[in-house]
Amino acid sequence: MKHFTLTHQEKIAIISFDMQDKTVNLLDQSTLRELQSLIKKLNQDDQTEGIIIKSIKPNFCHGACVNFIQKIMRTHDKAHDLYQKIWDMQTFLLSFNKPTLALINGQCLGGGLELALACHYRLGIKNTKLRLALPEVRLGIIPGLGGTQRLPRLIGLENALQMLLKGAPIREETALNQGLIDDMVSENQAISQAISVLKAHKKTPPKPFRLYHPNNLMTLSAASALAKKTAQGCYINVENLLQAVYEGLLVDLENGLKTETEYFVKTLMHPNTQAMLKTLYTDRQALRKTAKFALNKYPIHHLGIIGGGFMGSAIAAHALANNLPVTLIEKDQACLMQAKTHIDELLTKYPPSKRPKLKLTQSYSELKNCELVIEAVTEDLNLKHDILTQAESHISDETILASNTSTIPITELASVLKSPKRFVGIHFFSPVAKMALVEIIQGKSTNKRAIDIAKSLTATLQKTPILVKDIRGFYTSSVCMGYIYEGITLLCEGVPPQLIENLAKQIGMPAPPLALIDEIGIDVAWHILKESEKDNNSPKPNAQVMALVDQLYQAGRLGRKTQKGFYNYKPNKHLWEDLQPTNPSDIPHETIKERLKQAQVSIAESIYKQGYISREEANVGAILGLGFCPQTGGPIKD
Amino acid sequence: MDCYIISALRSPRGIGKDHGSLHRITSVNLLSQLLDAAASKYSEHIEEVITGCVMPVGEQGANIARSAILKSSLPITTTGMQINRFCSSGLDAMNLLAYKIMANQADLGIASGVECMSRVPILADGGALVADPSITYQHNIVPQGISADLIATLSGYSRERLDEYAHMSQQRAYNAMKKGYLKSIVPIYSAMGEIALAVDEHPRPKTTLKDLSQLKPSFELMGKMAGYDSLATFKYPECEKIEHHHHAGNSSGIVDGASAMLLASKKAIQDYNLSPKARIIATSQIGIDPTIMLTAPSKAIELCLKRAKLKKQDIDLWEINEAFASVVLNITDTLSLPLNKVNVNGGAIAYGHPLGATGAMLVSTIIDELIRQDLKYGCVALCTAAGMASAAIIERL
Repeated sequence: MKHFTLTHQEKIAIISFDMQDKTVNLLDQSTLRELQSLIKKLNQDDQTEGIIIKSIKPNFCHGACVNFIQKIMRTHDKAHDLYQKIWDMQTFLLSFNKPTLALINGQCLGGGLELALACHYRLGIKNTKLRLALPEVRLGIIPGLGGTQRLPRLIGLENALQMLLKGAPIREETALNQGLIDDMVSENQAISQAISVLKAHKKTPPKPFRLYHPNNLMTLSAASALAKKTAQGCYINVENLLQAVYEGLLVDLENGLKTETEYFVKTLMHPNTQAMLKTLYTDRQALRKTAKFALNKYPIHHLGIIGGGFMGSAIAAHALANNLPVTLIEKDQACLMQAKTHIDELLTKYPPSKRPKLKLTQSYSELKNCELVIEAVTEDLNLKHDILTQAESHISDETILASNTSTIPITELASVLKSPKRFVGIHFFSPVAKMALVEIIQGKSTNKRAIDIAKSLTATLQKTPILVKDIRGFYTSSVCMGYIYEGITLLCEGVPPQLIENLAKQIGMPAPPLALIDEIGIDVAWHILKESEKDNNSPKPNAQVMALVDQLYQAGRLGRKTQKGFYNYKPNKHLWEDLQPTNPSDIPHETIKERLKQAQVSIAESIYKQGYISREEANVGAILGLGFCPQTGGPIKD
Repeated sequence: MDCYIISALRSPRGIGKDHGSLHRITSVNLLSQLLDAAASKYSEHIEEVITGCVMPVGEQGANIARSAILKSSLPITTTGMQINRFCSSGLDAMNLLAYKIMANQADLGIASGVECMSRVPILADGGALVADPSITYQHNIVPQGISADLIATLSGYSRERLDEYAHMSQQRAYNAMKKGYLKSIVPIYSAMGEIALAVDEHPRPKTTLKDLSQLKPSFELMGKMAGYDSLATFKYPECEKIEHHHHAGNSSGIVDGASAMLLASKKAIQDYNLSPKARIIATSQIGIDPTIMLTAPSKAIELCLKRAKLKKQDIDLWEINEAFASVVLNITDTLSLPLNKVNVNGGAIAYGHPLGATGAMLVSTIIDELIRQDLKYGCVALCTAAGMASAAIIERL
């Protein structure tokens, strides 16, 4: 036994899970096989009256290992074979013939929760930060070890659909209220209480589930509508999840599990699932791994930030929340105080923990201990040049200088530096706390060490980095502008604005183009368009598009910040009536959808083909950075 | 072969709540009283009863037609069959029986409908239509009120316009009741043999436009909270949002009721010396997108006119079921029908809509009015759940 230990107490078997060479317990070929042989042995042992499954690690189990799922998919490429493989595991979870109890501590996720659900009882251990979830839907798959069947039968349809469709964790109070766990016990009494629960076990016949009860009908109908509101018909796993729940609850548990297995296999076999898993799991993990590698080589102990405005203070707060000390420079005391207030406010949104030191100062000499200094001042070339020159004169030769610019070329910024090779772009996305992506921009002279230190920072801050060469607009902004530009072009062609917005959602975009430009600011878009008008290398913006953006810009309709842009924001968010075309065009819906998608794909492809970014980074970046149709796995196909 | 309508009768409509006057009458009892009234002295010759019923479960289950036959004075040789095409079931019962008679496969029978909504509520029959994601998710199935609001949004009907229509329905019903135009009502008797209800009790003749304007939209909360508005805008992305204008006062009411009509072949007319009131000229059914759901009558009517070889202008009176105010306005606007020929004695907004019974009730209503005004052609049409409609054109004789 590599992963489990077996002991006995009062004729009760205690199986303790401690996966070898891992910090967390996962279900994979090796752990499942061991557990299966243990259960088989105990089933045949007359001296064993019951079984407790517990974890030695701080968490119960994080569920099935995604690599394991991907491996099964590779080795079983026919639906029927894959079904047999999964059904074998389901059969194992149906084989708990002796009274079985899961003693749950900490996180109990996905397959881990499904293992606990297959037991007769679940006790939670107090003060272990209990979190129970079936997060499969977020990965683009569905639960495949009984979650869609056992959870609704245990806690009711409404509660179960909440957990299944959102994938969010619930805590001990909710789990106890809903009956997901039977009781909470203290750590030192856990085993004795578990033993007494198992000793008192009485067999009860399963209650048939009444799916066609009026309350369940309303729940199912609304859940389906709300799921479509979110998924916009783009996600095959959401559809299969709902279908597995519906069909499975109309038959008994064992038949329901067969139905779940069919829909699980159907989901895994779908090309979108495979594309999503590749980009959002495999490729993303690989990028995070390179960042972790960089972190080991160049650990960062102190971060310097120049400029405590909107982005500067958000980066500072995020660093502090991730236990990284920060020195923040501002031009005067008032600005420093303002930054402090903003940082404190942002920090209240992170889980409480002991924060490292935040040093607020006007003096550049305080930056000398930092491995990395990021400037995050206003997008003004002269100002940035001035600040970077000053910073360079105070920092050590080892320190890397970076800019959080989202528009100014890195090479241009580096031109005033004595040592441009240590200068790199580190483009954070707003809101910093939430956005998982950081775009690292390599200027003409940027060296590998600077890039690695930038990557090391992303690892410290729990972000996924992508590396992009220094092109105008970088990568994500270029793709994003292409999308917005196409939206405005369609509007100029007479497509009603609400149609553009609704159809954009239907291709899987989280933010429709006109709402998005309002968030970014019409002034920002106006400047970008004016720049490309001047630039001989980029295509000239369409005159009508330019005129419309100019009209909004001149009228002070700058977007959400002025409470009016393409939308009016008062009293309620509502598309500006003046945008309604007098002669609506009859461009087919499918064409509009295709154009909104293709506008992004062609820009991403062009940047990729010119060698400015790798395929994997282009796909991960597009999805994490701007929400590009996640179900497709990204804009660049093999 | 022609099919003739000998009589078309209906119960009064009782308020569909536990204080309604028909609430304690079982659905079988209610239907059997109508069967007896329609069969009149010809009971022994009735071959077939077809009954429209939309919630055929519980006491309305197990083929309520046959149970009602057994309870009535009809002989055991009379067969019974229950059908369901949602809200048009009562008209479809007539159409189906007419096809049998037209095909020379029956001579005398009763087309009927029943719905005791206070006893067997909406959704009592469940159904994949509301529960199975392969239907609801894939086809954007929304509750009917959301579809009605979607129609109002797409057609640009304001709350005021819908309320004006609803007010007119109440006024017309009041006028018809006051002047005794509604001839085909059969009183319903209690267990003791006393009259339980003899007139429609749902209309509110005193309703003013101001009263209507103060009612809260019925479907706004569910539209927003349960995601149904998003399904509607998913299917109709030209809508930025759904305007929720329908409420209890401009939607059809929930009531208890039953209807029955005696249909005969030419042979039966001769054999039993019957005097027909009308002849069924043509019928039609059609399906459309289930999200907008309720606009299908326009297409069903066009198809029916084509089969009848008649033009819109030839039709003297229209009965278009007032499921919701926006439905009638949408159909009359689409087909350019003059409102002074449509639902002239009010409709389901005033009287209520006993789902399975309404179709046959509208036939009785239109025959009464064709006779009163001495007119010839009448057209009846009803929208249904899941995007269908049925229609029929009759000629008064």
